[in-house]
Amino acid sequence: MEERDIIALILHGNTNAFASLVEKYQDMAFSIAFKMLRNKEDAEEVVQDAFVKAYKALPSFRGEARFSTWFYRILYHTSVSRYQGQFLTSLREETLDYIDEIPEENEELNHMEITERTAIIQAILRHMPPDEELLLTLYYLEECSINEIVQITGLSESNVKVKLFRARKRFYDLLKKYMKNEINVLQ
Amino acid sequence: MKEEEIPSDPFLKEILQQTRLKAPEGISMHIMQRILTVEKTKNTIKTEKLPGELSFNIFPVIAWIFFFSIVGIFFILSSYSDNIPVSIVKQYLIYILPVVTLTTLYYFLNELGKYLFFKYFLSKRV
Repeated sequence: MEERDIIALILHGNTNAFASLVEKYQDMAFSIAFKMLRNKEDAEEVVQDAFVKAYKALPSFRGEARFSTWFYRILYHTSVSRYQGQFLTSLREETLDYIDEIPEENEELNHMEITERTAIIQAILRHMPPDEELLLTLYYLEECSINEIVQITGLSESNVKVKLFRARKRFYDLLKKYMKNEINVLQ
Repeated sequence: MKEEEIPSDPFLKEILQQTRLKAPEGISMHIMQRILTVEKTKNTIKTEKLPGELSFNIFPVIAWIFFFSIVGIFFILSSYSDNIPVSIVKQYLIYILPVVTLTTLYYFLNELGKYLFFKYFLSKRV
């Protein structure tokens, strides 16, 4: 069944139909909330609040954008209001200090075990500002367009593009730095 | 900077995929419980009048229908039988009409008073 049909069912009083939307978006919603808040309990609470808000506001959903975009926008604003925008300015300056080289390759990472890779990536992502991590997730993982990210975050188009570009660069810089350290430790 | 200038990055996508989190067990159940509570609350609000909300009272309407029905019956009966003179209808109108009118007025002013009290007095205090 298509999302449009599910939404129509919900609006006609079939509350249980909302469960399929919850099932579909709960993992991504939790990922986004966790990336923004970096706390499991807060993320869980924000996801619940966002779904309830979405349910209440569903009659106002006009279907001009994708449901996911509309829902992620609610989720984004719920997360922001949780910490009143603090995470947007919580740039960790210490991570910027050693970014001086442009990465060339990530061969070492390709040879690692998946669990080890995941641990490294998570460590790197923890060192990135939450807003940059969120933009990377929305653009590369959720495959949102720039326009959709603009709608979700309320940032300007140029701002989103600049932040995305910077986030990607920062990620590779940190990855390279991390891999260098790992190799040095092994030597 | 155009959208095309942001490069597609399968490597980044793949490694981000590995860090994708799963929502905690039972979160969907909690969400659906909360939504069912929202629905229940909505239904309760529909049946219970909130303070400051204008309500439609059925009693004056019933009173008026009853009043006109009696008047109608009297008129019909008086046209068929001389035992029921028109003066009885007139007396009925004289005594009952003010009662029905005053009852309606009471309901109307009572509702209006409550509405204005909540809207302009109590809401400012809150």
